[in-house]
Amino acid sequence: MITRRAFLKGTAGVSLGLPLMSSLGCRHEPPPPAERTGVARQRAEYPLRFVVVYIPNGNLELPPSMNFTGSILEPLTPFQQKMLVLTGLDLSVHNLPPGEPHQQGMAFLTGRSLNPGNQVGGDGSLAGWGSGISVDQEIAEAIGATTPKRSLHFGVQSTAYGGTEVRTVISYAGSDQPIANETSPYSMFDLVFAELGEDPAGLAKLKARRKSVLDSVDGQLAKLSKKVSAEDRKKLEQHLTAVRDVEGRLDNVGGSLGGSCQLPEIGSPIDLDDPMNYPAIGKLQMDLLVMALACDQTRVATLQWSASTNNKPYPFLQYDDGSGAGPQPIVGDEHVMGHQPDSDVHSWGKLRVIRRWYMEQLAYLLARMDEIPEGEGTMLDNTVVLLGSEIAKGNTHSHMDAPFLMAGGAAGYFQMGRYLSFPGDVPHNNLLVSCMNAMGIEATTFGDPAYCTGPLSELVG
Amino acid sequence: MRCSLPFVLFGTAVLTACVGDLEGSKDDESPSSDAPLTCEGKLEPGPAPIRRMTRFEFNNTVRDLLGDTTNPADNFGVEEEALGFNNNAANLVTSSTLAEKYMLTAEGIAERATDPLSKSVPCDPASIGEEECGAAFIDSFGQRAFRRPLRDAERSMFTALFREGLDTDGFRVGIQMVIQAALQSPPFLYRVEFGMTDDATPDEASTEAIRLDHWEMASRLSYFLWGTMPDEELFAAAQAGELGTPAEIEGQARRMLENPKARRAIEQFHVQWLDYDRIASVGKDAGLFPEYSPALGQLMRQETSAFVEHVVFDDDGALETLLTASYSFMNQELAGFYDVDGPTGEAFERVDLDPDERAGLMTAGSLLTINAHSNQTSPVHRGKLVREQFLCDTMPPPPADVMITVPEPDPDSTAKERFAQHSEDPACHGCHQLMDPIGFGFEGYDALGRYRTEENGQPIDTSGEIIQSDIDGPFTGALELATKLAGSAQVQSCYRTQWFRYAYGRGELDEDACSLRLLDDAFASGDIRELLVALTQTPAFQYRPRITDSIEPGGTP
Repeated sequence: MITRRAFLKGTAGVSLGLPLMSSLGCRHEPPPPAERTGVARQRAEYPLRFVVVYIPNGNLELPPSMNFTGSILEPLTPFQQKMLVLTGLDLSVHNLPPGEPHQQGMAFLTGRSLNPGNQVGGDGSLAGWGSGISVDQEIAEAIGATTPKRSLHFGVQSTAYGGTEVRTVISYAGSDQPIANETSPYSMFDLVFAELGEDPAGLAKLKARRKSVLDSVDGQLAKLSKKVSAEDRKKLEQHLTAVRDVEGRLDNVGGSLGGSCQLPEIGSPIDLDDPMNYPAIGKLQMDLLVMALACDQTRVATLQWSASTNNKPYPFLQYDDGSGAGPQPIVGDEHVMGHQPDSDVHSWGKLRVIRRWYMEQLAYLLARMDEIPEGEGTMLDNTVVLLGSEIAKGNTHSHMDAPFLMAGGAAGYFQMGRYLSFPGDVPHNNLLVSCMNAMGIEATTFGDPAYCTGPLSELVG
Repeated sequence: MRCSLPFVLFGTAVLTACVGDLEGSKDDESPSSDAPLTCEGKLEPGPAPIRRMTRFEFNNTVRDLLGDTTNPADNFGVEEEALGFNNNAANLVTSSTLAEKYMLTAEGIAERATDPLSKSVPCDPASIGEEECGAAFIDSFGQRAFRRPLRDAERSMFTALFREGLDTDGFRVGIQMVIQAALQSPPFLYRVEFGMTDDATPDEASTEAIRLDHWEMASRLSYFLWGTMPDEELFAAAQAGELGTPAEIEGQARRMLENPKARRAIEQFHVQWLDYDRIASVGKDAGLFPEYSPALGQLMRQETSAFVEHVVFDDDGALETLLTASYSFMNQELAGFYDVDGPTGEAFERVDLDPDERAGLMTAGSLLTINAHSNQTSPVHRGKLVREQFLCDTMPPPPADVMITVPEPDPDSTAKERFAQHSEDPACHGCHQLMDPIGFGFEGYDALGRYRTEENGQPIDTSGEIIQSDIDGPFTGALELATKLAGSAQVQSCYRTQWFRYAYGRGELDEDACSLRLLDDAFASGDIRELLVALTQTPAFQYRPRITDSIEPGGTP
């Protein structure tokens, strides 16, 4: 009789069962051929990685060229040659009902409209979850087979409105299968780094027991899902897929401590709800993200700052309105500021301070990735970092002409250091296909095919 | 009894009729109180989706099952939310990360539960033998973890895991593997219901509706009223087959409401309904409000919970009292902040407040503080709270590209004057006329909920107005508003709707008309405890629809 585990390996077409090797290091040697999944191709001897950064409410006022001086992109000046600035792409598929713009655009990584549902949006519109897999998960399927985690999803105060809902997630394993963010750096540390450096013999025993336990859970879920209603079956099958993913990765060790892979410093706990701690939580999450990549615990990650609509104040930032009172903390609601007409100089002045701060955070993330050497280049060079938002601008709520920033370049796949405009109707799904291509996936379309005309050839060097 | 009332359900007006209410079935000798609920025509329970434990429920359940008081589910991540509550079945999703956390958490719980072994294992393996003791543990623990007797395949599964642990690492590890597997199993994590098998089903009006079996009913009751697993008495009733009639269920519900566990579960509803946990992320302008701190916010949160608990369980349990009572609960620090005499220590105690200044939830410091700006009050947010949570309306957001700058605090004006633009600007007027005039009634309370009669040396005008409701008209101050709301059928029906969504983990649908009607009858007096009992007496609670689209027949494991 074939055991379920053997069956899983067989159907996946890849060997998930790497031997327990502590000598893998942090990718100072080529990845084993076992990770070739049939669709992914490795151009470099170092792993390719994919990172998405989300910031809320759009409002990115980009400079007209790669000269960042004086613009909100100024903090990114050191990385100009490793960046692409993209303007004119349209999140046009997210104009489709149901939902309101902040809900609709939040599914930008899926390239599909939302399902109907009972989640209440900002204007009372009802919408459900995203209706398809997101590009990060599609990519994780291809490049993440050998890592202990398929992907990691970092949130910085990214829950709002009382729970996890369509405005608080960007990643989907499939239709109606949102992947919630981990908003606690402390929980993330336990999840990713707790077993690094443990005694291999003890770990092997633990993993053997886990396999048996998960096997029993897996069997029950499979059996039960046949007996329940179709609606409930969907939920149990999602659960089953999740358990099998955990089960299938038990033997994946990733890298080990040493070299560029070091346990992140997480310090003593801070209040994760306090708006004043937003920067500190963000830094912890970025440090964890970079080390999770450096230690090859995963190759795909998303980082979500706040949530769409974003009623957040920024009391740690200051704005001087010129009234003579001097710089004052920005305590207002960002969403309200973004609703103001362009003529409201102070609201947009505050938003510029806020956006510039987000660019400083992106610069920090890129710097951390760029200081990790990999061959002739750095970890950043082998990564695609994509930054986007759910709408283009707060006072229009438009999904058209949405700005995107990219960094890294996937080991030379993209020709970086350029400013590219896309006039006319160019759907952003094209960009998602390009990201898949950069990660070695042969694809010509992604998301809703009616809103995808193929990869953006302009990006490729 | 025949009734015919329109309901507004998800924006759909439904005209329906139902027969039979709680009083009717209790009073008369015939039909006996064991008679099934009847609705005219088909018995329609509405959907009964499987429900996954929330963090609150998981923490409580492992406390009651294994004595684990570490709240291990706190790191699971925030639940999927819909319609304002975190237990909506339609939205639940289990990702790989959550599955992995279930695994790691179960390992931690198993470790703690077996240190020492005698904490969880009722027998001594040294005296009766490891195999025998393991088997005894599997039977007793398994039934409590799955909240029903184990099936043969499940017993075999646990036995195999126990033996594997026993053979490789000894008895303790064998027990741990059983616990780990149980805590990740679907019968533990979900409430799975198939209902009674056909021959056990009473002669219902329709076989499309199936009465839950006794074990399933024990869990429905315990998770609704306690947010945790059944106690020994519920299990005994299930074992004896005594959870199959409305009267038996009502008897248990009334008993359960006397238990302190009910207090925490009912608190959960109110926390989520009014979203007052959000005070943790509220910040105030330190220059204007140096007395505010996150710690003070937490005291306000405790105050609101203590007040709600007292009204529901220790006072008359009336919705009117919840909206209008002139007492609250404070400790010395909070009382000092409000400038109230009485409390002298850290413990919260009841304080009687000036009935000309305070009216229940309407003047709760937590709600007034959350629904205010960092530097001044917000009539808009306070009006919106009333509109959305108490009248069950939904307000659209401001249109794009209109100037909605919040006015700067101005020493020469009152908030009402500063916010008056909304009422005048035609672009804003349409929606803000529904909120701001309600919110102006709260101007007697500053951005931290303190009572005031003047702002910046100018007298405060607390006159307000409600329109497009069943209590239209002008009023003065939050106290008069509270009285109006307490007399509103719309508010009463809204509170009932919120409870329906929370208790059943789903939105109300057309087919729930009879269940809603039964709730309205029982809640006619405004008694919240009777509403809670009535929530166990509906077709929606006692039945589930027949499963017609499964791959294999259900209920036959």
